[in-house]
Amino acid sequence: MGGGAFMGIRKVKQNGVTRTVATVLAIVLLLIGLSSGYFIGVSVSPTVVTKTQLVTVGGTVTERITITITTAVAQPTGPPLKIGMTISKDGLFAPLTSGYEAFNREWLKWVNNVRKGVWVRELGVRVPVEIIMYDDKSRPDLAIQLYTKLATEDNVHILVSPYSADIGIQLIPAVAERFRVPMIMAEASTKDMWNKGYKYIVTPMVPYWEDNENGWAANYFDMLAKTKWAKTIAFVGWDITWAIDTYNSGKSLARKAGLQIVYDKLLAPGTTDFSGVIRELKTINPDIVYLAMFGPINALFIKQAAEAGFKPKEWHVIEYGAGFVESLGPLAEGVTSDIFWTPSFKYYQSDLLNELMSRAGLSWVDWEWTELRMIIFQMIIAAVEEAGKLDREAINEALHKLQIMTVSGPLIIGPQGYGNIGLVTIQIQNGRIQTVWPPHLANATYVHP
Amino acid sequence: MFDPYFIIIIGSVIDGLVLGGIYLLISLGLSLIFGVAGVLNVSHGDMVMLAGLLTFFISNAIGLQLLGVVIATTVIIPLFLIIGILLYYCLIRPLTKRTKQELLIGSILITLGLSFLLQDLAATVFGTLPRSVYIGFEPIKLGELVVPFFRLATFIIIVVIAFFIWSFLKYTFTGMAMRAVTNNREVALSLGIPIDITAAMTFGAGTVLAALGGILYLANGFPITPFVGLSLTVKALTVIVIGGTGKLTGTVIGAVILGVAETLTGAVISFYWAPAISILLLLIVLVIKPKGILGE
Repeated sequence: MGGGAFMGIRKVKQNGVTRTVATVLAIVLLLIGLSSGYFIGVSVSPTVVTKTQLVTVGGTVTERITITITTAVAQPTGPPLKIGMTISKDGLFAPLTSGYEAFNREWLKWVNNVRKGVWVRELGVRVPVEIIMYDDKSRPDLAIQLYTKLATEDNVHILVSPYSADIGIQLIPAVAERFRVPMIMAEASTKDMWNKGYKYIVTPMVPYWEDNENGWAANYFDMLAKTKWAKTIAFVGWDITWAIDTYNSGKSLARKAGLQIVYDKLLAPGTTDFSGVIRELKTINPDIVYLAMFGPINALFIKQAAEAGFKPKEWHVIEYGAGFVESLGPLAEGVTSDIFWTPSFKYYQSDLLNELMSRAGLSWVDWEWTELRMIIFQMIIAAVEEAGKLDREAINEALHKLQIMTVSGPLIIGPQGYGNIGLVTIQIQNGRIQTVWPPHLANATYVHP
Repeated sequence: MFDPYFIIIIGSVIDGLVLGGIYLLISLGLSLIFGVAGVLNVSHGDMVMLAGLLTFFISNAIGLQLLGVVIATTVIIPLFLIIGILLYYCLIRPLTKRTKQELLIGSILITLGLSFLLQDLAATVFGTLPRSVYIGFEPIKLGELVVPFFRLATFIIIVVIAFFIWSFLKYTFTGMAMRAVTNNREVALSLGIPIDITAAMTFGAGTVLAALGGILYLANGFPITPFVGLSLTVKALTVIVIGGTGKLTGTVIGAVILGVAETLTGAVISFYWAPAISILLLLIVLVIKPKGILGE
């Protein structure tokens, strides 16, 4: 009994020890399990490495941002494909381009981790992609120095132009042609870039300065010609390359559409007090006012006109991004504009573009030219894989022969270097941007007086 | 029935007076600071920018633009008075023991650095989008002439502020002290005027004037971005040089001339040349009367 009692106590003790050991083991295993899961989670998710350095270029201190992605699993190997560009984090173009940094980061995550890099036939591997960016502070002189650095010191394989034709046009002879680096002109294209025999530039955009179906607002004027409600139109623009191109093309297309041009005025770049112009417009009272300025400036014009009690039957603006809809509120209602892509498009990787923008925290209403950046990335992947090697000449040759599907439809680069991606007409209806023309791409009906 | 062109000219003159009034507020602040503290405050335009952006965000948070502007003004005036005084004590006062020339050059360098800092800070905090408000009142019709409501209101506000400044400088001890220091620093010191406190108060008052300029600039539909400051400082300097340094009446004349010249150039010659007229005016004044219209 006593022994039995002792045995009983021992058994109880053993059971207790066993339970304790089991509990400790269970906790340890649980912790290992959890931590393994954690580390596994870490190992499969991408690590974005953004290296920001301050560099002095031509006496100006600016940012150099290198974005690379690393993962422990299935990381692309080989030397990276280097893409160089500048964005403007200061100055006039900052509201229009600074968001591209976040978009680039999200695209890099996708291309390196989901797509597993870019296939380079000569190397027999998929190589990772790296983007080197600088802040050009909206300054042409600084942009030239930075692109020179990208071409000669960073040794990028391909360049993407900064925002604005005025800066872009200076970079072509100074960098792209001089150092023989292919450059894709993003939001920067004008006639004088394409009639000088330059060999190292391409753009996906149509020659939008023309007064035919390629014209910036060709679809808009086609719509006006069909609906026939408007009789008179006024043109106001800033005297900068892109605005003049769209202003002149618009005037010619307006005449062809049967509209009478009752007022046209080019203003010095930087003009922000429009009270005098608005007063003149008020006396003329055109049906449509066509504004050829940057989005935020167009919004400012419309606000000042409203304060002065002037509202034409319709405003048409060549750009609406950068807070246009939010800042105008109800005044934005009915405004028409032009764009290369809207979410109603169902071409190649449209959903991916939506997703990347959403991850980057960019609304396409505010960052309306992000689709051009996406098209350019689509062009780069296609050109490098076609070229089969990380060689500037080969990539340039492939870019000039490119025929691919993009988010905005099929792209064919013509012999002069420009593409065929044109613009559709949108209208702000109930605070939302709707595609209204051409009819086969429209998701809403054009509302007019 | 008036000729439409005549209506356009009259409207442009009214616009010019309002624009000149806004320039006046900004320039008066800069002129006071220069006269009393002997400091060329390059970051003055950035105070205009900061006040404008703060007004924008306060009125947006409230949801009602006019009420927002009014509430923002009540917050901004004391805030910028304190900011101005602190700027003097923290950044400028250590330089006051130097020679006049060193003080001037040192202050330019320090306030230029401050200007860059404020621009970058504002861009980080407020973003880089141009901000403007829409008050939304019906414009006032004077026969065939149509004037935006807030432009007319601004004109009245500026006249009231200008009268207030004139009375302040003429009848209050601080105002008289400011004028005395402007006229002759050494004599003012010998009369027992506390130079340091007077200079600090002037810095505060000048910064408040810049802030008021920023609020009215925004409320009149002009865009404010983090980078607008330096160009406004240059505009204010142009006004001071045209009117004559150290002369408040000269600043009033300079501001009105510049404002009306800008709007009339647009209406009569070309809107294209309106922004360039300030440079042309500056050149003309510097060639004909280098010390400004009222300069001695």
